[in-house]
Amino acid sequence: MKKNSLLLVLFMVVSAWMATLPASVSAMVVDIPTIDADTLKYELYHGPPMVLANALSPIEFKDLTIRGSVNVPSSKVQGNPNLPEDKDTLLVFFCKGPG
Amino acid sequence: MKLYNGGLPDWIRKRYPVLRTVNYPKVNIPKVFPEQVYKNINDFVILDIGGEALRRIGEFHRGDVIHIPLDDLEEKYTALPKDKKIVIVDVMGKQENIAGRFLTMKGYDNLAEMAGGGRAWFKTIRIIEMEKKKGGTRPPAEKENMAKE
Repeated sequence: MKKNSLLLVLFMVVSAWMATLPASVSAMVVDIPTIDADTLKYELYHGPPMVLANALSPIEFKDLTIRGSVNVPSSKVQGNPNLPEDKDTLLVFFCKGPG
Repeated sequence: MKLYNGGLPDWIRKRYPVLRTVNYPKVNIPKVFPEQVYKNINDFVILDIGGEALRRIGEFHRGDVIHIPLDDLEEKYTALPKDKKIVIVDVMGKQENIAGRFLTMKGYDNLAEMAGGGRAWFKTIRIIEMEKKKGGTRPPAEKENMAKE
């Protein structure tokens, strides 16, 4: 009972906090769409030009990456030349996945 | 923008095309426990590769520490000494091995990985120093179990 009350309070606090964020920011926090492996493979090798960005370090990127990806380490996203200039180009980020 | 949540492991599992551009040597880098490093702190250089994520967990106040995030290691590794044992530390201990393989390729052969990463290090330090303040003699693991109870 006490645990449920705590969860309810936590939910209300988080909801209130989310409501105070500008729409663009809250959208970034919760609404980044995902893509599955099969769709990504098709888009990458048969679809229109896109950028597949590996967010790991340069050392990990050189050790093993998806063929056709570029390296955009998570700490070096801003102004990274590997990012597409055209904002309409499909950009997909990946790393080592969950866990 | 989209996220491929499955990431590299999912892609490999599906046997989709991958690319390796550098063959880092496969080496068994020994693991050291935080207690060992703490007790022999002057024998080690601690290499913090965890960057901002590790800084959020804690700050290193003991020993000879060099901060080079893994994202920058390729460019800045020459700042590391070769005459002292280097203990590599990241947040959870998961990226220590690849950093060690890279450093091995660059001629560093006196390396160790911190077992459990920075999380284990800061937790151990807190427990040991709390014990010291209290003047207690109970071993850290036992103390931790008691705290859970």
